[in-house]
Amino acid sequence: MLPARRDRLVAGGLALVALALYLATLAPGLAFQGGDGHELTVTAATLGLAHPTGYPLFTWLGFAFVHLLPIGEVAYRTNLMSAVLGAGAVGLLYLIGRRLELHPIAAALGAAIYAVSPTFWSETVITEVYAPNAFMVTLTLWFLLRWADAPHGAVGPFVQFAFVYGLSLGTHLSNLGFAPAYTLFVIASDPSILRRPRTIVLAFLAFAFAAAQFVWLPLRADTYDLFPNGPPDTLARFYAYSLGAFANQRFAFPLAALPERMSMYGGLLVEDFGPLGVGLAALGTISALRRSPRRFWLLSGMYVVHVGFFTQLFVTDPDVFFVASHLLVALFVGFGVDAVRVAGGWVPHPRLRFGSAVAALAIAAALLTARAQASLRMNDRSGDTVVGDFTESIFAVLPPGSVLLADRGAFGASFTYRRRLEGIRPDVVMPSELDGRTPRRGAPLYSTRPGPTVGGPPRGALPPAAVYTPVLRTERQELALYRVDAGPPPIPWDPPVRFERHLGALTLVGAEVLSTHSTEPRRVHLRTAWRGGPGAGGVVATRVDDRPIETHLLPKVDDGEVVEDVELVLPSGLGPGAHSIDVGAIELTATSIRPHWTTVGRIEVE
Amino acid sequence: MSASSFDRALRTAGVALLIAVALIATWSAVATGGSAMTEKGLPREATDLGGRIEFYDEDTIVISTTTEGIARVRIDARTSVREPEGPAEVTALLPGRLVAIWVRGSKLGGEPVARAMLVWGAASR
Repeated sequence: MLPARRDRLVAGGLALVALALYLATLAPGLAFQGGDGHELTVTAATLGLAHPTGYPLFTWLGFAFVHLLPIGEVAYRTNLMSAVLGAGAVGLLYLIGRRLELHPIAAALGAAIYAVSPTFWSETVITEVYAPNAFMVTLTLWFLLRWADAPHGAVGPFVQFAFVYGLSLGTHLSNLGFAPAYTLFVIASDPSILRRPRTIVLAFLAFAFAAAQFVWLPLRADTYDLFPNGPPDTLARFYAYSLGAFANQRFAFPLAALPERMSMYGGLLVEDFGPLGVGLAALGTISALRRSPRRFWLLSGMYVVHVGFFTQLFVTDPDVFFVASHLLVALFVGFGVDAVRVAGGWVPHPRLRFGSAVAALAIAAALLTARAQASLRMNDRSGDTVVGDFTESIFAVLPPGSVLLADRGAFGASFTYRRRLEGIRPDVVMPSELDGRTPRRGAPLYSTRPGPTVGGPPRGALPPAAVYTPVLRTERQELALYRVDAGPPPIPWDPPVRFERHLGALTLVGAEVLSTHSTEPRRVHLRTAWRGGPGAGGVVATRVDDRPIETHLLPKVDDGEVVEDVELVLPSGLGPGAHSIDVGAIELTATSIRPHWTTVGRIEVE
Repeated sequence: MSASSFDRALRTAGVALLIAVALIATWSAVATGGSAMTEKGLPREATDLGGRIEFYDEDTIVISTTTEGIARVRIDARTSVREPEGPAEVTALLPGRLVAIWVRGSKLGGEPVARAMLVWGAASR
């Protein structure tokens, strides 16, 4: 039974508005946030194997987006997948609300508040599994409710639900936790199904066929470098890669930590739905229970298992794990809105009733707009080019035949992206690629970290007393390139013009902008010499016009001078024309961090 | 069990679930003083400017100085101070980038004898 034409139009409209918001804020390439996204992009484009739990369906969908949509660079296309499927989830959320017999306005408000919730939005503008998974969860739920609305005994809709549910495991295996709630709902909706073994067997086969996508894991176990994970090439390793993944992070907190974990979750909930949204959701749970205990238990059962599991998971980014359970919160918001609407029916006078409805809608629209604006500010990734600028610049500045030490496997996927998808600089030897190439003796050595890289470097790659000198910096301190020398490098520069610019505790005694023109990838070559008092160190920074482009710690100055000679990556968003280059020292006072800037030159960007 | 009695059982269990959730939420709010701790963001890099950073993780930084021993500061993800122990306090911050920590000469204040700074990275995803 398909939704009514009006509902299809409203769902489509909501999805289109959401898509417009997500496209306007979409990251143009590899996003700084979402470290897994780099790896997921590479595995999608090359049909490789992603980190546990493998995400087969995500990989195949990503492959389709990369190869069927020739728009922008490869990473843009996988980002686009998040936007499109995220918008699809919003439309489906409305249709689910309607299947739950919510008033169109209540269903639309529930879907809209989810669409603009900061965490979900953040996942629709980068490559990650959470927005595609939201789509698969809503699709599964829609198919389940469609079966429940079909005449009892209908085999087709039930088998279709089971198939889609099996597919959804390939965007997040945690969807398996929804099984008890689905089972309870199925039995509660049609107990006679237990007496129809043919239907059950067919549904199980459909589920198993879809879940068999995980054969992808052993099939692709030998693709590239799966570090830090072992290849799922035996039964035990297959289990460790899928159902047994992250075992040491699950249920990682003692019972005594429950209040703190729930408080953390409550904070995330308020952040995403606002106090009013959380209040409406709480009201909605009561309303849903009054209206239909079966539907209440479907949503609550899914919710309790999901939240119970993920509040006990030890991760540094817990918020994104609640993107799926927030779908259920949004439906409860819809129930809450509907309860308020029904209560409004008790207002005695028709004109007063109409006025109340208009006022409530105006307030809802204002709150939604405010939340959308806040989310927009937080999640606008349209200018997020630093990873792309950085990796592109690295391969532009490395001398011929260099050796580049970078993180291995999933941690170094931004370099894999450049090398495998773009074939850039094959002369540069990267031991992290494990391609068996031996670095040439005496080749210039560079590293993306001021110390050992993640998963390496290979034995003998570093000199015994390695000294790391930064040669390329970006606006993100963790994205920098270092030259690796066997001993202290000589001070390469004596400023031709010396001056004394006192910038807080530090004194700038010389500065020179060596590149006066910049083309793609945009960089500026800068030398500076600093002097400070005994033991003084400090924070120094550079900005172009008024935009800071890097901040870093200066080594101890002591009585001498510290000379820095680096290329600074300019943001892609910098417009063409002349720009002033300022360097500054950041003075730490008792109550503030105060920068002191001075202009040292200009650069012409083409 | 008839459909209506099954629904009644589901409704009763639902009421029990809502009461349990409300109790857990109240307990959590009371036990944590209502503070909503989040874990967005990790210190990606920590460097000393006089004091020595002994240890840091997602919400704690431990600094030692030769004169004042060990100070410990717990910092939440919004880079505001929680539970300072020892002679340490966070005195300044540049949201999203830098947190400066002073270790003062005594618990009552005084001139800083050591400073530490950490760079707060964006949340990992």
